[in-house]
Amino acid sequence: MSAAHPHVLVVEDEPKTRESVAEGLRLEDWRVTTAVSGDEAVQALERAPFDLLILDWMLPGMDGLALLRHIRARGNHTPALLLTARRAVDDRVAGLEGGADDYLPKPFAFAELLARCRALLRRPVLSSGAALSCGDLQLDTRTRTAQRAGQSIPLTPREVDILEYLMRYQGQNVTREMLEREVWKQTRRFTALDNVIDVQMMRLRRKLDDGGAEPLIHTVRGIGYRLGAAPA
Amino acid sequence: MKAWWRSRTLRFRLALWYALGGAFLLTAFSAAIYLYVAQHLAIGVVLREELAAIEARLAVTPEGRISWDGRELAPGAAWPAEQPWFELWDEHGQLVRRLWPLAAGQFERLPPAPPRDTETVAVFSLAPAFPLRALSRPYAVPGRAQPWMIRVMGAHEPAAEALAALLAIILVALPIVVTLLVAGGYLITRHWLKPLERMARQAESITAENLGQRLPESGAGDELGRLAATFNRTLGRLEDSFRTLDRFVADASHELRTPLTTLRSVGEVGLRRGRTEEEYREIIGSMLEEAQRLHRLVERLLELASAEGGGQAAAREVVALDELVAACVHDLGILAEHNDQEIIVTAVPCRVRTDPVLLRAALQNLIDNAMKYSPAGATIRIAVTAGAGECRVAVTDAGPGIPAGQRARLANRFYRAEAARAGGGFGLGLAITQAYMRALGGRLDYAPVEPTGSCFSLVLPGPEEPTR
Repeated sequence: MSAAHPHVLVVEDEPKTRESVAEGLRLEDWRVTTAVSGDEAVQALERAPFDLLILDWMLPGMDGLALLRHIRARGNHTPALLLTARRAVDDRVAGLEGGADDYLPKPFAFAELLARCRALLRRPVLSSGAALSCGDLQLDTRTRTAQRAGQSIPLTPREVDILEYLMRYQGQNVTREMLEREVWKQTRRFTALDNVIDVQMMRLRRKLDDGGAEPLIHTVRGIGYRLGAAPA
Repeated sequence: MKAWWRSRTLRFRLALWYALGGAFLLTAFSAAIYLYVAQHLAIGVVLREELAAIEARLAVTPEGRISWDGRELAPGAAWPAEQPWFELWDEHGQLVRRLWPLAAGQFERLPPAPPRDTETVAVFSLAPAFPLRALSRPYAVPGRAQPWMIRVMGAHEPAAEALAALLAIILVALPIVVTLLVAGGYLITRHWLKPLERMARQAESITAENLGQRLPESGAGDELGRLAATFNRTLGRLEDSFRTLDRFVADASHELRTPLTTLRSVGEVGLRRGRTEEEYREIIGSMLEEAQRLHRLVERLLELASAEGGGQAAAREVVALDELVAACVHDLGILAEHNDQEIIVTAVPCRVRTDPVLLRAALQNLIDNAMKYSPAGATIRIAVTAGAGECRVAVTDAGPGIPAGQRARLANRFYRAEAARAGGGFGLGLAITQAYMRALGGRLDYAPVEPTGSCFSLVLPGPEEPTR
């Protein structure tokens, strides 16, 4: 596995989705190969090893699940993320049983796709150690205390959870959906949490950036939030 | 064969059943008659009965004197023709007495001696065209060691001819009767099934476009009348759901068009002239926001459709209602703080068997609504109570309340009280909440609050006794 520049195969027949996903991953300095059908994907897999597969379920000819079964039967265990516009829980189960390592329903935010890919590549943005830091901000996940420029910041348990999540994904965009699922542990998309997240982030930001320090939490319009230095 | 049978009309099949059933029954009946008659015309049976009658009237003394009906019969006495004809043969095979009205020299031959010690049926002729049938059997005479033989005789009428005639009648009559049966069955079936055919024709002409039509109901209490009534009720329900669907499509398309319109116009206007990168970021961000809004709306519509379609696989587990309420308030409390509102919870410990995920979503929704529609500084009260057979979570807000005229439409999709329209949201929350409660076997109640405000209650069956 090329640790710095993972090689990803994107199999998707819808051109705009395929190209935008490929482009997004290339911006992360990943090597990306694309295929528009299951057969083309099989050929690509025969030519070169990949670190990760991103597969659409519905493909012309051999569909994503069939492709997955095909290559798994031949001993190829490259991690695979299955994309699908289908929602039923049974489909999810079928996908995971068919050899997919993760399952992402469409429509998805690119930030979320990236986060899932990183998880499959076992490349968390930061080590899962107890001490996380970003600039002059430190978070000790064991004692659940935060400090900025040596000043301790009083945080509620939920704020600690959010901050830990943001710090693990620092420099990456984090969507509201990701926060809802990972921090609030909500499994349903229909929730009344949108406003709660906004208010919660506002408070957290106020606490962290208190006293005119350089802002660390940024709102990315139309996407979500990002922790880190100001956007380029 | 099976497919062929199924493709026939009911009328045809019933008529065929009539024919087969009728033919079978009639054949069996005829066969029974034929066999009965044949049996009773058979020589042995008739003669045996005659012989029994003779034996009852006959008496023979040990000395060989013969009496009939208690009167001694002198040898050579005349025998009336209407009396049964019979003979007695002694143990040595000698004829003792022959009692018949015929003169001895009248025939070419006399009956031969019967075989001894056994019952025998025989037909012999004493002259051409004068066959006799006879049954002989041993006859015990009191005081004698060896039995005599007794033989009863009668003119032999050939029963076979009578039987042949009977058979001929049966063979000719049977097909005619069966044919009549089939024709009758077919006509009667057709008559009774005619209303069904009419109903089928009528039903065929009813489509989604004219669901208002109904089948004619005869008002009769028979099966066909009930069928028509049932069909009409089904049509009524179908019409209702079609109407709901129509309304839903109309409402949904309006709600979906709004973000789509924004999306397009922001994009188009953004491209009308060159802009700075900052401006482009702003434009793309705005479009992404609309896309997200559209996404959320679609998710909610799908959630609602799935909940209303009973597609929610509601898991059942024991949930502490008071703890669930506390958890929801904990999640959403920050909003109340932000709005400068206060949430006061009064709860009794109460356990229900339900799906915690659905219930939590329903509750979050009610609390969110309450905060949304209550003014700053207001107090929102949440009460958990357990009564007879039901548990209730009542959420009381200090909002404008729902005007009496609009309460019936409360849980309709996209309904928002006029006052609330400015407040954002999709107006799907109550519809989804209600669908969830139905999936959980409970309901959503509404009560107005004086002087102003609303009280929405989640009502669930319960409480569950704690299991140990």
